[in-house]
Amino acid sequence: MSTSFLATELDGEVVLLDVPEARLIQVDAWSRQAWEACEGRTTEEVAAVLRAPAKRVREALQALAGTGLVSEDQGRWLRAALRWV
Amino acid sequence: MAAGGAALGVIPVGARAERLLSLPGWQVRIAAPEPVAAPLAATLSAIAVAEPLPPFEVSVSEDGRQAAGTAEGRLLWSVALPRSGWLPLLVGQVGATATALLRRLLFIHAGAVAVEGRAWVIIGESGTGKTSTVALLTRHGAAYLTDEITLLDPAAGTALPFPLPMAVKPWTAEAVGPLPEGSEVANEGSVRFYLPADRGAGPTSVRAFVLLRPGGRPELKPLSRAEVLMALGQHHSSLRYPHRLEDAFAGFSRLLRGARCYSLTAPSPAAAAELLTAAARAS
Repeated sequence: MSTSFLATELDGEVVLLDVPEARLIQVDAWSRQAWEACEGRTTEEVAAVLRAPAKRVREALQALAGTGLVSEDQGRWLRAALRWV
Repeated sequence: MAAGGAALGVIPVGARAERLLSLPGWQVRIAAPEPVAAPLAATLSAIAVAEPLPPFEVSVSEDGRQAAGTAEGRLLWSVALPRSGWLPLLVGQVGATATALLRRLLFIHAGAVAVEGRAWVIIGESGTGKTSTVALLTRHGAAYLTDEITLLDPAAGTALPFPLPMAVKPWTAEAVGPLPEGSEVANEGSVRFYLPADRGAGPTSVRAFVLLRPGGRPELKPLSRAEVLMALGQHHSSLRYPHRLEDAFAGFSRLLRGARCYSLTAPSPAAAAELLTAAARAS
C-alpha cells in the first residue's frame, strides 16, 4: 500500500517523514498517545481512553490534522497510513 | 579499475589540458586550461568513493571563467568562476556532484575522524569550525576521514573516507596553528588544500554524531537521536535529494540507532577538539 508518511522510533520518540511535502515532523509522547488512540473515535471518546481533558485531546488532534496525520470525518478521527522503518 | 590517484595528462594544443583521473570508484575527466586543470587534478586525486559512480566530466572554458559538470550525457551544473576562489568553488562542485550521484551510500555535510577505530561525525553549518576541529583532532592522533563530506553506509553502520584535502582558510590556519602531518596539494586565492598523512583506510564503525554549535561555554552533552534526525532535515545531507528521501530517512534512522548523539558547544575549535578527544578516549 502506498503511504504518504514514513515513521521511525528513536528512543521512544517518533519522527515522521511526510514524503509529498519532503518534511520531517517530530511527534511528542502526548501527541503520539492521542494519535494511537484516535482511530474511529470522537474527541470525547479519545479523552476517555486517555483520561485527559477533551480540550487537550482536541488541541493535539487538531495539531496532528494540520500535518495530515489525522483527519476528522463526521466527528470521528481517522489516522493516515504510516510505514514504519 | 586503475590505481587510485593515477592521472593521465594530455596537453593537445596551446595551454588546454585534458586529464583523466581514475580514482577508486570514480572516473573524472578534466578538460580545462592547464593552470586550472593541474591544481584541480591535484586536489581531487586522493578521492576514493566506496560506491562506484558514473564517469564525470568537468570542463572549463578557455578563458577560465565558466565551468560545467556533466555525467551520463547530462549537464549537471554550470557556474561562473571568480578570478579568485575558483578552485574551492570547483572542488565544492565536484564534491557535491559525488553526493548527488550516490545511489546506496548516504552523505552528510560534516567532518569526520576515526579515534581508536571508531568514527566521530561532526555536523555543523559552514563557518562553525568543522575543518578546524577536524584538523586539531587529526593533529592529536585521530585518523582523517573528511572535513566536508561524510559518506555513510547505513547497512553496515559505517563511515567511509572521502579524503578530499582539508580546505584551510586563513581563519582555519589561525585557529589550528600547526597543521597535522601531511602535505599541501594545491592553493588558490586564500585557501590551501592540505591532505593529512594519517587517513582512515576503510569503513569505520560510527560511534557518534555530534552537532557542533560554536560559542558558549565548553560542553558536550547527550542529545536525543530524534533531535539529530530533525537537525539532518535542516542540514545538507542525502535528505535534500528527492530521489533519496525515503531511503535516506530509513538509513539515517538505522545509523542513529547504532550511535551516540551529542550537542557540542565550545568557544573555540581547540576547546571543541579537547572535549571530543576526551569523550572519544573515554568511550
